[in-house]
Amino acid sequence: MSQFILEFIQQIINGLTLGSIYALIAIGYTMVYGIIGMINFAHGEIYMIGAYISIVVIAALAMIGITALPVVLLLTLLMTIIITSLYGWSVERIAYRPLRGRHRLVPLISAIGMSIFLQNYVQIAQGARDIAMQPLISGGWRFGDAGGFQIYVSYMQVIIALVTLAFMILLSLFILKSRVGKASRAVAQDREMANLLGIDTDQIISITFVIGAALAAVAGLLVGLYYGIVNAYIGFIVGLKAFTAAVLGGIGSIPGAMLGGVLLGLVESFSSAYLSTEYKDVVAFSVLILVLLFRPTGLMGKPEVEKV
Amino acid sequence: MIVRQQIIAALMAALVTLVLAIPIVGVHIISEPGVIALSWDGWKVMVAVVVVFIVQLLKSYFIKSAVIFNYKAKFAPGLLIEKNRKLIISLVILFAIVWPFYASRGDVDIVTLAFIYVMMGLGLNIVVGFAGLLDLGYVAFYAVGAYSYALLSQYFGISFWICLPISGAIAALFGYLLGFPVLRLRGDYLAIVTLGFGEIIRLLLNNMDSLTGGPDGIGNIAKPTLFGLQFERQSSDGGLTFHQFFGLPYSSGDKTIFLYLLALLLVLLSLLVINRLIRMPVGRAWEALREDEIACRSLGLNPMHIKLSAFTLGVSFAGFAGCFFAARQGFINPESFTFIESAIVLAIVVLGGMGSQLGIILAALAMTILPEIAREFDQYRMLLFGMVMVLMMIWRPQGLLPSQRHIIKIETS
Amino acid sequence: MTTNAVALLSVENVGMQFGGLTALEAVSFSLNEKKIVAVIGPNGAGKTTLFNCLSGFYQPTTGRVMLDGRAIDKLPSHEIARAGLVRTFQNIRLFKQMTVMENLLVAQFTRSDNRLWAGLLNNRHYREKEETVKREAIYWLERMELTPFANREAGNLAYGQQRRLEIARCMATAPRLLLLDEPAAGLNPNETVALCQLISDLRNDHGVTILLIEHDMSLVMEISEEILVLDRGRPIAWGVPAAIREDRAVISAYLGEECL
Repeated sequence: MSQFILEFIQQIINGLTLGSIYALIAIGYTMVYGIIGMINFAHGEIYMIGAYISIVVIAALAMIGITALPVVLLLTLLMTIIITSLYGWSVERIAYRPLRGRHRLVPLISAIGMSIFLQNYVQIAQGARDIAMQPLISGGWRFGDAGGFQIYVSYMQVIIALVTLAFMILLSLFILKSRVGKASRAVAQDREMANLLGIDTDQIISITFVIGAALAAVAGLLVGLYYGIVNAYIGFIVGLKAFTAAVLGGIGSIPGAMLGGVLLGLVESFSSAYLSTEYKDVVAFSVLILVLLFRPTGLMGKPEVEKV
Repeated sequence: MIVRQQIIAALMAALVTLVLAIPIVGVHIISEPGVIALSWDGWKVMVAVVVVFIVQLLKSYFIKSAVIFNYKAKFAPGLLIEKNRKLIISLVILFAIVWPFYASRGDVDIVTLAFIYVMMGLGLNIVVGFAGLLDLGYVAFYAVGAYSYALLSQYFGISFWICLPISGAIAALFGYLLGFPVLRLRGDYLAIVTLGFGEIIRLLLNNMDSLTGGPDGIGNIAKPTLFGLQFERQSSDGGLTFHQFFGLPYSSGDKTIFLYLLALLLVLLSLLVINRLIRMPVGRAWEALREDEIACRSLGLNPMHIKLSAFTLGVSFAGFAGCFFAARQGFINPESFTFIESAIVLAIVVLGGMGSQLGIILAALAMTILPEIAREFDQYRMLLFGMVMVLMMIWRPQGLLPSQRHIIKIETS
Repeated sequence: MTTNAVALLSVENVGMQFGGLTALEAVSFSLNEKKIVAVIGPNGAGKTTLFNCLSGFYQPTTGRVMLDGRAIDKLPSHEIARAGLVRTFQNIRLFKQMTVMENLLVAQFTRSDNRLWAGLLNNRHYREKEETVKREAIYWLERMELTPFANREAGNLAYGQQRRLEIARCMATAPRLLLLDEPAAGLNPNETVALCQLISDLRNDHGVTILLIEHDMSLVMEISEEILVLDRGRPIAWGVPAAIREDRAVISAYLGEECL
């Protein structure tokens, strides 16, 4: 095989890794938008907090002498999800719930305030410096050889893809099969009607935020393990990109968020490989603007009808 | 019974706070090369838990007093101010002109900076407050204004006074070109697109090294002159300087005061222009559009044109502000134009009370001056910003000083 | 009569579909100048949909709408309004936080001097235009008996006053054709009588043609010169009130087959 093809495949692998992360976070945006029609601007910060908590848990486990890798990973995953979800729940409870039924810019501004607050809260508590963690899982496989170029797939990349896939399947099953999942679809379609039918809409909305935060926590943990570097500002750009992914897939649609995440990951990976690393963010945000302009409903979203 | 419920609720909140705070506030990650460890900082957690418990317990009391406060605020300005409006405004302006001659250089400098934010607040207020379009990328136009002047001055040696209108016009042009396609979008989509645009502009400035100097920015930008008189010790172009022309001893404070007065002039001009605009048919149309777009269309108003006019005019003020900023600093780089700047200006508009110009002026002054007074709290500034934005949306979405709408009164005998 | 003149409004075979649902089908009629015509029909007959098609809030899927010989069915709503067709809404759409006076001023936006420099410099042409606009607004305040409330926020008016203001706001645009969507809804009997008078006065004094949707049959029968009856999206009758009253298809549409 030629070097070009190998490099191409390498970019696909990198893009899928990145895309998995975007997809996990994008689901939080899309579910919240689907159910209460607001952009949860602070969602990127939840992901950042997830990354911090995962490092704290790993360090704490190491300090009490738990180092067996599978145990560490499982416990970290569990603890990170629980605590980060609680953050997601609290944010909704404090900053959004009192604003139900107000003009749609009001919760958006509140969310921006929340985002600024959380970013600075973590920065003050943990310092502005990058926090670097030794990779727990290193190594990988190499394939092919053309002109000295080999495809490299790290174990971590495979783990990211598998974990993401597992959580996507879990989420889909939950939404399709469980009582709460059905209720949440009902609330997304018509909140007032669902309320009349005896569904506790506030509770469903809370659960939506918790699920979104849990998936963001998974993304935070995976990023912490993969890159090993975390700071208080990682949430903003990644959050914006995950939102782009949600819009690209069609905001409100969960399969759309998955698709959008993967597509955006690929776009970014290819643009940094074949265009320039500096412009990869420009490309990502241009995608956002272009999608909103030419297909605001995204790839899998439903069109909205204006009511006169 | 109610008391008991409140205590339970407060205990729950305290418990949640405990769980939330332990991993972020309670432990500090020590990250040395190769090692990662935690240090325990428990007292902060306890403080947080206790504060949340007390606040939650007294919340109902707080809300009651907030309502009383609202009630009073409505009557506060009073007729006295209304009657002597012109006199009061003249006195305030007079004070603002005289003040820098008696104040310290540092203070004058800070207020000059505050004036930049006043201009931006007033401009963004047109977009957000009057026309109801949420622009999260306002800083992009500030950057456009600043770089317009820096580049025109550096490459073509064009003076500040010529560049000032040009910077505003270029910012307006960018606003028009961006607004034309995106203003069709619904409010929250518009917010995100403008945010993306702001980031794109910053990234471009950062990466187009050959033109913008990349992260290093542009330095040695010419300062404004007074009818060609420079405020330096030695003129750079061989002409007279300000102190030579007037036969004064050289004082570096002159430049500070000059920049202050210039900023004041720009603020007053902005106020003048904006006050005309909102009394004009287009100003009425902005408000009408914010209230009901469908009704506007049914009366023959083209929503796109009206939004575009608000957007274009609003961002031109960021262009002027940016031009002045570049001239004042003498040095700019993309770091000055991050999202946080947009958020600060938005916070100014929100806190000041959307649509209220007096509120915005006060909010801009407070936001820039307070952190300077309380420097030890500087790192908490953004934290408080964020918190206050949330609380304002919950308790007073109309802002601290809600707009006293200008209305055309007619005799109703 | 005016049979050979071009009709002010002519609707040809207009249809409207939402997805698979047909809301309006093959509606055709024409309206001469200075007529008062009512559109009636049971709930869900497509009356408001017809108004939305005429005023450009929907684009009809089929057919043509001509205003004064000019096709308007592809125009955006604000251009249709500029062409002289304005409307009110079933659920009154005022600028609630603006004053009554301001509502009337906004309506005249397209007739104001909108040049930026003229306004900023407050030049003579601008001032004259503003004066004209204000005079017009004051005229409509008086005409609609709203003068005492001129400086009040529109949202604080009583219901009947809000209805009148919405009509006044339309009239301030100097329309040729006025579409009223249930103008009598929510009014008490006295107000309804006054509304009747107002509608025919507007036609007589200002030469405006009026097309209205109304459920109040006494009002419809009294003021309309012709009536269009819609049922399930289709026109089932067109004629003078007396004929409509006797029309079997209309009666069955309203009362159901079995009552015949």
